Formats: sequence, C-alpha cells, structure tokens
Amino acid sequence: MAKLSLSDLHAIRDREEKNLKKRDIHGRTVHVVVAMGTSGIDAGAKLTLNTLADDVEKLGLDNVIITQTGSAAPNPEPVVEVYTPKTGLVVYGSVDKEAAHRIAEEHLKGGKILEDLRIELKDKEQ
Amino acid sequence: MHDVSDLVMEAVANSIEAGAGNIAVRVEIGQGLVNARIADDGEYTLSGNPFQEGITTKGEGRGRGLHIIYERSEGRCRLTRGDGITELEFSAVDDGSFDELDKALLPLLGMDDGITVKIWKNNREIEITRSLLEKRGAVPDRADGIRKFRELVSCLEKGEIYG
Repeated sequence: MAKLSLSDLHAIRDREEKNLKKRDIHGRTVHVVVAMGTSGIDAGAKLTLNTLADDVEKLGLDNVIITQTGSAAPNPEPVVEVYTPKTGLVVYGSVDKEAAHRIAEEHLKGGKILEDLRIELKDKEQ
Repeated sequence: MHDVSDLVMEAVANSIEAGAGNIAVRVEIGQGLVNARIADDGEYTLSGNPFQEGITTKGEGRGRGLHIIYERSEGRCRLTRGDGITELEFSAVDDGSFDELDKALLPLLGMDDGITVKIWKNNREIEITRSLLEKRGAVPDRADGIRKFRELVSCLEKGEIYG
C-alpha cells in the first residue's frame, strides 16, 4: 500500500499551508505532519505520532496542529515535517521516539531546528 | 515490522486510496485473536490475487499493504466486493497492540473524516466516529483535542459516560 508520492506530499503541504493561514487567525501557527505510509508504519511512525501527540499535550502547545500523510519513501522514515512561521518548513528523518521527544521540546516548544535530524526530501525513485 | 493495529491502518489507507467516502472498521479482540473487518464504498479494480506481492488495486508498483496483511494474518484474510461495498477481513494472533486503545486509535481516527470505528474488547463494544470526536472537541490533532480524545477513549472502555 504505497501511497502518496513526494509530489502528493508537496501538494498536501501546499494545501495545508493555505489552511494554516486561516488557522493563524485562531493562533495556531505550527503544523506537524507525520508520514504514515506502509514504509513509515514499518519503521515505527505510529510510535512517533503518538509520542509527538503526547508531548504536544503535556507541554500544552496549543498552537500546534498534528496531521498525517502517506509515504515519504525513499526518505529515511519515519519522516516528520514541521512548519513554523519562524523556521519555515523543516523535514526530519529517522524520527524514533527519542527524536520525537526532542522535536517537541526543542523545535515545537523552543523554536530551534535540530540539524542532526534534518534531511532534504528526496523524490520518489522512478 | 507491522503490529496488528498497523494492519488495520493499512486497510484503511487502502480504502482512502480507493476514494472511499465512508469507511467502517470493526475490530473484535478476544480469545487470543484479533478479527478485523474494514468495509468501504471505494472504487477498486480487482484482478488476480490482491494479496500477492506486486498485485495492487491502486496501480503499477504500489500496494504492499494487502500483502503485509496476508503475511501477518498467515493467510487468514479475504477481500470481497458486492453492492458497491468492499470488505476486507482478516484474523491475526493478538499481539497486544490494542491493549493501549488510545494509542492504536489515535492514528487510525486521524486518517479520514469519514471513518467509523467499532471495537469489541473485554465484552464491551465501543464506537467512535469523527463526528463524535468533533462534537466532543476530541479530534486528536491539537493539545486540547488529544487530551479529550484520551479521556473519551478511557471512558468508553470503562463504559462510563464522557462529558
């Protein structure tokens, strides 16, 4: 069940960025997208999503929205995209539980990009 | 490695990719087994064995999900279609992945707005729909919604009335 290509992912992101402008009105300005395709699930994306959800709740990050999308293969999954007005779009790869904690604490809460986890998205292999 | 709750997510992803407007998930947990049925009104083109690796309902080069379901269920699965409804059923050994129900359901209910999930567990059936979550402010995509979602699932598991 492969799922969405990178171009699909970008289309979703573009659409969501437009939606984010609307959501900004309500003060929610940070968007987190977790890739939940087959390869992502295989790599533990469900744990990543739940960890981010737990932390967003515990840290009281009311300005954060978490959504899901399809596969981000061939990128190192689990893949998490974070968009904030301050840092723009940042993509993280191989986001395990510990990395998810760091993203929540340091990027979502602290506004700091985690360069050691950051990746450049590769398009789907033809 | 997919756990059993992941298989349900794969099936729902399949439904979404088929353009389903309505997806009904029923999961029964008991006697060491998880029995799942996912029904949807999507459009499929079925040819050959859809559980065979490389065979897909979604186009060339796609479709590992059904094969993974086949493998993890050790062949105890079937896909049927009639009256515009497609049903995927499978049975797998309970690996405990539904023990923490909120963690299994959070990603599942976040997948689609047209999803209805019924879980039969510990001799109790709980039903959760997106419309219920929206009504309760419990869509788990933001801090307050995540908290309310977990509270809602916990109450439903205990047979308590939420809110």
